[in-house]
Amino acid sequence: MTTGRAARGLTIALIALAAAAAVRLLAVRTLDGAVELGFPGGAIGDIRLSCVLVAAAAGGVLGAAGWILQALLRNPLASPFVLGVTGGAGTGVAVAAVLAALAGAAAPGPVAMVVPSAIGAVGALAVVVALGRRNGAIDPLGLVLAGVIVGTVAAGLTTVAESLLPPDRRGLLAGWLFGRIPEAPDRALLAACAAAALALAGAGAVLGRRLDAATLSDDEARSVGINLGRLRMSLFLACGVATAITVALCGPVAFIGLVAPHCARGLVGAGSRAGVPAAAACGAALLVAADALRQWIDLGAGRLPLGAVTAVLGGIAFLVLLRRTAAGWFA
Amino acid sequence: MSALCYESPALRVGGFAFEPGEVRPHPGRVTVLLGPNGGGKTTALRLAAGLAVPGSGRVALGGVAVHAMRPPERARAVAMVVQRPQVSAPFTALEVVALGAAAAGAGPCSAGEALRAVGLSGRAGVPFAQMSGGEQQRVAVARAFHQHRPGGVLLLDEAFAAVDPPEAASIVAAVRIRAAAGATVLVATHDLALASALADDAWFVAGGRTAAFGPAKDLLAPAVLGAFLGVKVTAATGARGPVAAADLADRLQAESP
Repeated sequence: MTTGRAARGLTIALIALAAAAAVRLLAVRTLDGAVELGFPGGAIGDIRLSCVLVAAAAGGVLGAAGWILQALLRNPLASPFVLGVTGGAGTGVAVAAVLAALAGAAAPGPVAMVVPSAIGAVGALAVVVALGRRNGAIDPLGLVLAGVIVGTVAAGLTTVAESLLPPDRRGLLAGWLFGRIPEAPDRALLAACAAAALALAGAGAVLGRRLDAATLSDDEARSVGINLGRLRMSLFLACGVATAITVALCGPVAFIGLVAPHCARGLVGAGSRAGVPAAAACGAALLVAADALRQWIDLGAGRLPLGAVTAVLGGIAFLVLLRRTAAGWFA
Repeated sequence: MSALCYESPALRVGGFAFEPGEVRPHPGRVTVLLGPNGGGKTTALRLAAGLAVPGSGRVALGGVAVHAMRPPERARAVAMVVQRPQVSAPFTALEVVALGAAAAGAGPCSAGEALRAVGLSGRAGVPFAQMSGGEQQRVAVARAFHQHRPGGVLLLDEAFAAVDPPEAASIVAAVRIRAAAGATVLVATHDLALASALADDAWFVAGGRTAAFGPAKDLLAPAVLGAFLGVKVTAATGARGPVAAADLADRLQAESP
């Protein structure tokens, strides 16, 4: 809560981001196993730079959205991935791809994916929040269960949609659906994602006190003057749309939105004013680091997909959090 | 200071109807709500806090319907302590108290002073989730003190249920100070001794209706209180006058096999 701690924590998060970016830019293990240091110019350098920018923007959105969802839903296990929001976005994109194929149109480009992605993301969140309520109040465990179910159903629908696609269009979707950093991202989409990350971090800084009060029970939050309905609706929508942009950019990336807020809490404390920007910085650092790590792991079949790295490491973190923090949150 | 007035609000929740008629709690006095579980005490407080919207009638504050006020404006006028305070984030006690100013700014009592008023200044840095039920209730009371403005409305719903007598006494003193400064205070409780210590007026609520409203010295008299609650009430003499207590002995005798 104190300003000194917030400034120190934010600085540490940004240093971590810079360090991860430096590793990704300057130290790479080439496909034949040699270690290559230094920054190459030309196309290779451009690819590395754009990978860092994409990972930082997407990680920033997921981290900030994760913190906001955890506060609004009063749940330390909430995140865009756990709540099925990224999965819903993926289904939206897959369904749009099928519709485009059926209509004989070209496969939708990255920018055209944003709309179906947003519809899927916001739709999934609406269903999960509706299912996770009991007697008018949000039930923390019911919410996570609803998220798992909706995420699984969304994955199933995505697979169905994928199998309806003509074979020549399947490969692209399959790689994307596990989360991957595009080497040549659409510039407009990357800019939109970066803007979304900054906007969410800024909204968190401005609305931080209200977000903190929203972690009280409904009656208490409203009695200290929070317009809960409006705060929830506007931020759910913002998180849904921002997540949808990241999904359109690099697929549904798992667990960054869950882990980053907890890292941020360790750095700046529980207050959202510093917490949301710190979660954005942590999310950016984690995703850039995961992408850097991925360059170094070769199990003999080429580099690991980014989604596999975040899913394995993030899944382990989820289980640790489930045991450790759930005890401290539910008074 | 503006007066709080229940202008025949009617609220239906499921099969329960709350229709207390017209009741005017007095500014500068502590009104204690007494009555059986499910009789409407909490509903009465939620209406005054603008948390429930009556189907007809209204609860007005200074002539304005409370439920129609803008949330920050309402928070400056009315502070409430709920039965079971909850915080779903790892905040410390002091941080939870500061949330009283999250949307509406703070009253003249700082978060630290409010925590001192409930006897918890030594526990300011302790995580709320690690505190006992009684301590959490006291933190919630401190948050309401931090939010409260002189002359405003203070609503306490069973805020002392898990609090030990010495701490309850210091909170009672802090509540009385605010009443003396012009606050309209409504306290729902089951604790007759606490009611005796705190009440200027009593409001009997049962079956969603007002059974009686009037000066505590009349309504908390053992015969009157006993007839309303359906138990024998005895009174000891305390520094402020009679202290009521439910005497359950003859009830136990009558119901034992």
